[in-house]
Amino acid sequence: MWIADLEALGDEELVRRFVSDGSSDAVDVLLRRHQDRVLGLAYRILGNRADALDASQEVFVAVFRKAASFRHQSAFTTWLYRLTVNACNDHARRRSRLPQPAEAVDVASPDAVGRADDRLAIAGAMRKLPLEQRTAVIMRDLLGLSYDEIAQATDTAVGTVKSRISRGRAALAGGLGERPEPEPGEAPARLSPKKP
Amino acid sequence: MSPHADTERLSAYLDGEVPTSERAGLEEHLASCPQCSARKSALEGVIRSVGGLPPVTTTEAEHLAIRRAVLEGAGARGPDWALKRARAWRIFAATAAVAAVVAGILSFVLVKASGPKVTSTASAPAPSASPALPSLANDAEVRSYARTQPGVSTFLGQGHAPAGAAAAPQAPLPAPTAAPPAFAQVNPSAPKSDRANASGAATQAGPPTLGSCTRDAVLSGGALLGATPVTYQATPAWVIAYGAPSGSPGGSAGTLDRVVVEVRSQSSCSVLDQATLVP
Repeated sequence: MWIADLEALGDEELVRRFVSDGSSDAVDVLLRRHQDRVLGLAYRILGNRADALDASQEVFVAVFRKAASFRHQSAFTTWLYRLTVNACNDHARRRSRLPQPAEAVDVASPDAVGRADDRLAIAGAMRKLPLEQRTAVIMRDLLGLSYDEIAQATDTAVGTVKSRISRGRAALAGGLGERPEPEPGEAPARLSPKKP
Repeated sequence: MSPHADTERLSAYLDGEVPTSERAGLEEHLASCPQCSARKSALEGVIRSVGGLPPVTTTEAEHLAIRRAVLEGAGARGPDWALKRARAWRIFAATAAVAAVVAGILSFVLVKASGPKVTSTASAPAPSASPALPSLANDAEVRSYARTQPGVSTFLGQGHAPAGAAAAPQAPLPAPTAAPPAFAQVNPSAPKSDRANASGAATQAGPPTLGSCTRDAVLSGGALLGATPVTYQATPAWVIAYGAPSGSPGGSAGTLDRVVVEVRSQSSCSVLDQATLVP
C-alpha cells in the first residue's frame, strides 16, 4: 500500500494497519497528521521542548499500544489530547520542581518586538499557573477546544473546566498587569467555582 | 442596577458558554457597568495573548524520534506478543524449508519435462532467519528480486510447462476443487479491493503460517515455486512465487504459464504487493 493510499485512511484504520500488519508507513502517516498538535500541547503545558518530545513519544507509543482501549466515545483527536494531558501530568509529577514554561521567543520573526514582549510576558505569567489551570487555558484559548472536549480530555466535569479557565485567565490578567478589578465587597468570591 | 458579573461568568460568556436565556441580562449589565466591562476587556486581552502564541511545528528529527519510539515500543509489547512472534517464526522456518524442497523438486521436474536446455536446476535456497534479509520497497524491486530466485528463474527460463508436466508435481497435493473459491487471492486480474477482502478473510483464520497463507492458491491449481523471507517497506514479509495456470481461476486447468509473485505480511498474511511474471 502506498503512502498516498494510506493518507486517505482514517486514524483508527491507520492504527490497525500498524497493529495487525506492522505497517510502519501507517505510523508515519498518523504521526505527520497529529504530531504537531500533540507536541504543541505538551510544549505549552510543560514549557520546554525536550520534555514535550518525551511526552509526545509516550503519547504515540500509547496510541498504538492501547488502540483497543479507544472506545469511540470521543473523537480520536480528543482521545489523543487526553493521552497528551496524562503524559504531561506524569511528567510534571516526576519532576521535583514545578514545570517551567520557558517560551522560546522568536525575536527575529517578522512581527514586531512588541509582540515578542507580549509573548515573554504571557509565558512568564503562565509559568506561575497551576498545571491544571494552564492546561485548561491552553486547550481553550490556543487550541480552541470546547468546554465539553476539555472536560473529556482532562477527565473532569464541565463545571470544573469552566472554573479552571476562569481562574487561569484571571491570574494571567493579573500577571500581565491587566488585573480584573475586584468585585465590590467580596474579592475572594469571584474565584470560587460556584456563585448563585 | 443588576448585580455585578463574577469573573467565571464573564469568562464563560466570552466563550459562548453562557445560556442564551442569561446572555441578554448580562450584556445589559455590561453596557451600564464600567467595572465589569473593564474586567471583561482584561479577560479578552488574555485570550488574545494566549491565542497569539506561535504554533509549534515538529522538526524532522523530532518526528523520527517519535517514530522510532513507536516502532521500538511495538517490539516490547510484553511476553505474550513476543511468544507468539517467536512461535510464528519457528513455524515459518519449518514451512519454508518444506517449500524450498518442493520448489527444488518442481523445478527439477519442469526442466526434465521441457528438455535439456537448462543444465543446472539449483534448488531454492532454504530461507533462514538471517539478519540481513533482502529489503524491498516497491513492485519493481519485488519483480526483479523474484526473478533471481532459482525456482522462478528456472520456470521462466523454460517458458510455460506442458499440462502433463504441471500435473506431475501436483500429484501429491489435493486435487483442485471444481470451483476453487480463493485463488482470486493470487489472481492479478482481481481488483485490489477483492484481494484486500480475500486477505482480510485469511487474517481472521488465526495466526498465519506460510502454509496457511499459500494453501488456497495451491489448492486451486497454483504450484508453489518458492518462498523466502524479506522485509517489504520495513515490514517482515514473505515473497511467495507460484506457477499459475492461465485462464479464469475456476476454468479448465490450463498450463502453468506464468508466475504470480505475492508479498505477504508475516504477521497477518495480508497481501502487501503482487506481481505477475511471464516468460
